[in-house]
Amino acid sequence: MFSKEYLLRFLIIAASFLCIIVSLSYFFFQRDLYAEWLFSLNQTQGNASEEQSFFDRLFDPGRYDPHSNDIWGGKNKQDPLNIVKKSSAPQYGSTAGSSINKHHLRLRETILAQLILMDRYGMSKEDAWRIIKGLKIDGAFHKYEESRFINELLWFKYQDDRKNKSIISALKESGSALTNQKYTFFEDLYSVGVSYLLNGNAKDAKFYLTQAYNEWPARGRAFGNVYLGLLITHAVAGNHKEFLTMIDHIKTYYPDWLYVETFMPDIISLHQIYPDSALLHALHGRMVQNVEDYASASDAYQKALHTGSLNSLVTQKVNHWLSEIEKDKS
Amino acid sequence: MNLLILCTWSCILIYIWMVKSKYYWLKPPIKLCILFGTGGVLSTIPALIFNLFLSRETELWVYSSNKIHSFLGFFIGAGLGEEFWKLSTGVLLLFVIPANKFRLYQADIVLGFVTLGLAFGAVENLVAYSHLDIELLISRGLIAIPLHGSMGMIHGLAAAKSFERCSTIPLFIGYFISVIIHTFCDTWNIILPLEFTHYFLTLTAAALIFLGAKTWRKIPEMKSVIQS
Repeated sequence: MFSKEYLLRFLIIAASFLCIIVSLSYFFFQRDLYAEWLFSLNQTQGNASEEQSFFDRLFDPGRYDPHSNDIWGGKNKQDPLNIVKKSSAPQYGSTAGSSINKHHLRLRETILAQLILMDRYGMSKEDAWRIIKGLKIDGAFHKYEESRFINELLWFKYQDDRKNKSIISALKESGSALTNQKYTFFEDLYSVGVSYLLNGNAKDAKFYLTQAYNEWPARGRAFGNVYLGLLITHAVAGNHKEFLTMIDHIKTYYPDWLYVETFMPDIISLHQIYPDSALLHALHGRMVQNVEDYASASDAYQKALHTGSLNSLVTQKVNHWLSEIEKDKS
Repeated sequence: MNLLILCTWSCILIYIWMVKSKYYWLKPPIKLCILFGTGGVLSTIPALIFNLFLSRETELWVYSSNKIHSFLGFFIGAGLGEEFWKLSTGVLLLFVIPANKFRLYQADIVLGFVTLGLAFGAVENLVAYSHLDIELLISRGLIAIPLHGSMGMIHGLAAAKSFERCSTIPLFIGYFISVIIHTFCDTWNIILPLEFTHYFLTLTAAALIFLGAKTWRKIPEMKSVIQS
């Protein structure tokens, strides 16, 4: 065996060489996940306005059906944002609109699975990101779905730190990037609407949330969130008429009204963003009155009345709610 | 079963052709081939770990959008890494097997290393590429597996030469030649991002198969590499 020492010499030298190469690679090219996210986000925004070539469109597995009745057919197909402004129905992937292709569906399901694993089972976002990046699914929708994932991650971060203005600002950016995609659909509109609401831009929030409200395909719990979001938007925008109409049906359209702990932190955060909104105080009062927290409800109603900006109809309504509290107490 | 056949058919065909075309007077070194084949299967484990490390911990990921990172990923992961694990497994086997129990003719060593490369390619197909469509698996059988076999032949020739001269240098030369060929085969479309570039891979593979076959026919059936 020892007569073959030159073989051993080769093994030792080559293995050492490989170790040095790997060490240098790790030292000089260590992976920066955060930079990858930002890069991905920038790529998504940058590509939004780029026109696809004929062959790109032809072989894009996520391409639309020009004969279907959905809004992606016709002359506006290259300009999704314009379509949104025209109050069309971006229903890509919804049951009512054009069907999502199987590769896109697989990618979306995988990303959703990673989000669930992260949220409930403590999976790290680095691992989730690696799994998503490692999927060998080609298609123009890949960047879009990655942007959605980043947007969801930002929402997770927001849940942990609601006062962080940089996160709120980033949410608006990531949400806006989603609306510029040809795959944009109602969930994205809701997401960007809420991010505008958190950024103090009630006008744009109303625009997107109204779109989401109109396009939402079902009337379940998820739609309830859209309903509450739009109601809050009308409140902070001072739309008394819409506020009164919607608040009367809150229990019907918002099934989670009983679980104050889920939505009240958001309303409290919004008080800091819109401190002068009397309708928001009125909404706060009504929501806590629904769960029989009379003390908090009275307090909120008093705040609403003291601002002096309520119109007569809402003032009358708030007084009526106050009288209901007195009645229930007695 | 179908998947196994799709991933291994070309390995079996190449191996049968090599044995049939060479061994007329002597018995084929079956035991040695089994040993090297097992080594090829086992060498995929460190190669897999090595590639996983590169893709998870560094920017040098073969699917990276940065072309330099992607090229380096192929160079270090597929080129330097995989070729090292294959060659070193074979060299280690040659180091540990007793010379008096195995016949070590030049052709036997080359066949052993080709078997190792084919086994490596087959396991790579099964582990990393079995999700591909049938057409792609067949094309991998026509291109990737013969490439691994060709690399095995280079390794085998280098090892045989190393035995003959009792020198390390032929091994290093063989190693770096196979690293360069492997890297360039994997990165044609990165170096030349043109529409017709993918034909280069087919041409390279065809040239290597042709050269490999020609070399194999030239290797004498009975030429010992052990110095008397």
